Amino acid sequence: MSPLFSEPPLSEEERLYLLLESYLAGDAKSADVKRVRDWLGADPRRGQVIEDIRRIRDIVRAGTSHRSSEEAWRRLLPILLAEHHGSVAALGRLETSRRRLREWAFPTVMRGNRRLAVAMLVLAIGVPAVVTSAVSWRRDVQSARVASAGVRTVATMRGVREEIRLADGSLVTLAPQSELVVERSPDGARNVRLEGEAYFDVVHDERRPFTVHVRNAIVRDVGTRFAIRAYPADSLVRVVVTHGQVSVRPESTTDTTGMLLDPRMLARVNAAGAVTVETDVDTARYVAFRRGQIRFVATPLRDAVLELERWYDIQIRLADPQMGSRHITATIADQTLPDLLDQLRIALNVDVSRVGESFVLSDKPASERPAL
Amino acid sequence: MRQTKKYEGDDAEALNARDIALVDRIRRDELGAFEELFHAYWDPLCRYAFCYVRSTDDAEEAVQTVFARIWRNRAGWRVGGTVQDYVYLATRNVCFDRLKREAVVRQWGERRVLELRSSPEHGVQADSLIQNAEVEAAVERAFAALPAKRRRICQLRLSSGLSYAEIASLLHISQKTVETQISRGLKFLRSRLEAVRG
Repeated sequence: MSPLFSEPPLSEEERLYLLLESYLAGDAKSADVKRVRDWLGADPRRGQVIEDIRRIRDIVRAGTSHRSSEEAWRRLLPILLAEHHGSVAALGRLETSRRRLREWAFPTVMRGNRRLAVAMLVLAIGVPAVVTSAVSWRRDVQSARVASAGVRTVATMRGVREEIRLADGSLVTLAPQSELVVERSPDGARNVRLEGEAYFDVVHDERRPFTVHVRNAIVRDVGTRFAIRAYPADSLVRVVVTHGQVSVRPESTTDTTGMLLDPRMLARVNAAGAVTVETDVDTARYVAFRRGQIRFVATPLRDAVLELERWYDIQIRLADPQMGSRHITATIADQTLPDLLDQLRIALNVDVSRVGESFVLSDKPASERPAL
Repeated sequence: MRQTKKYEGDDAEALNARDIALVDRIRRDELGAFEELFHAYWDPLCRYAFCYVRSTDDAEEAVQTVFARIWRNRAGWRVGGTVQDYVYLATRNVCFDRLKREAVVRQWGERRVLELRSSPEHGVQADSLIQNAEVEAAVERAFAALPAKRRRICQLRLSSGLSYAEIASLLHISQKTVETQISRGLKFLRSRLEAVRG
């Protein structure tokens, strides 16, 4: 018999726990129920003890649905065996730069001296770029945008996201490779133009509606939080509302009311100007980028790859173009590049190797694919 | 500060000795040893991580990350205290990294996402939610550290809801033994809970 089973008699504390546990489980004898109630009643602090037991019971009871260790090992093994790209270690996480841009004219008068500070960019491959001044530019834009009368531009490059505080207190989070142009209107109206993706947290002001012009759509609100996406590669403009109400209309119409969107509604404006609305969406998915998170939910791999390239400023190639139609469901949360690549290996069950400046995703040879 | 016993029974010593031996072999590139370590800790670490990240996928990912990193850096792997401490701490760190990066606190039980803004009210909420996670995680870890027999009996009682008689019959032991095991288990689990709660 194991030594575990020839222990000394129970202490008073141990007896108590046993009693309380039976009481909570509902199978204590009626005499014991009375004893517990008397005991609890005698000192209110004793409530903590029974609460602890209850809590312990809840925790132990809690089910889990994670994979078995065998299955998890089968998924991990190929990654351990893969060649690691040592030179990539230099690539760091995504950087977010926060800036207050005091010169935004919303509706303050423009300052006398317009500073044209030139952004200092570290363009060396593999180092995240940190934008340090008031004007930045996109790598693929022919000429840098220059602050001119009444207009300010902020642009992010690949691999960089930016938070911009406007003078009226509104906050805009720009995703990578995006551009925000702020126009100053004599009547104080708040107008911006967007290319790419951004999340808007607009300060409420009914007298001065906040209007976003994005491709062929116009999004208007008076004080809400919403996300807009319209990259050149996207075929349509997407608007998701998390708080408040916005109106969305194609610029071609004269009717200025537009489609009204409440929270958890999503509108799409296609090239022809048709607006379709989806209700009851999981907004977290569409605004995850604010926190540096990307969520893929059964996303076609070819689209996911575009997104990752933009966020990490890398090149990804698929060894077999057919792979592009596979679906990936994963959450990327500001991982370092090596961790991201590991995650792709696991999620897609592929090899990831470095070929020149690109990362190539390829199927494993049939013999190595674990039985799922 | 009261010294509470961190581990239960003789198992702890034996377990750590086993772990240390595995670490030595892993340092010398023995994949088999690494696999043993993986199987030994995968389940408890997933449950532990879940307390913090509140999602099965995220918890699995966190534990995968811990092990992938261990293997990647195996050549110079140093363990100061026990291996158990090391892997639990590493898991907790990975979970916190994720939570910090997200700057979002998930509401327990309901899976709603609560934005962590700069208002103090939300700050307090975040603190108490993290505290909750720490308590749960501590109990999870303590439970995993119970000697196998005691853990099994506690599981049958607390989780499956079997009566003492049923457990005794199932495991071919006396009802008195069942009572002893459950009460000792609860005492240990509660001591770990109190240690975190303060």
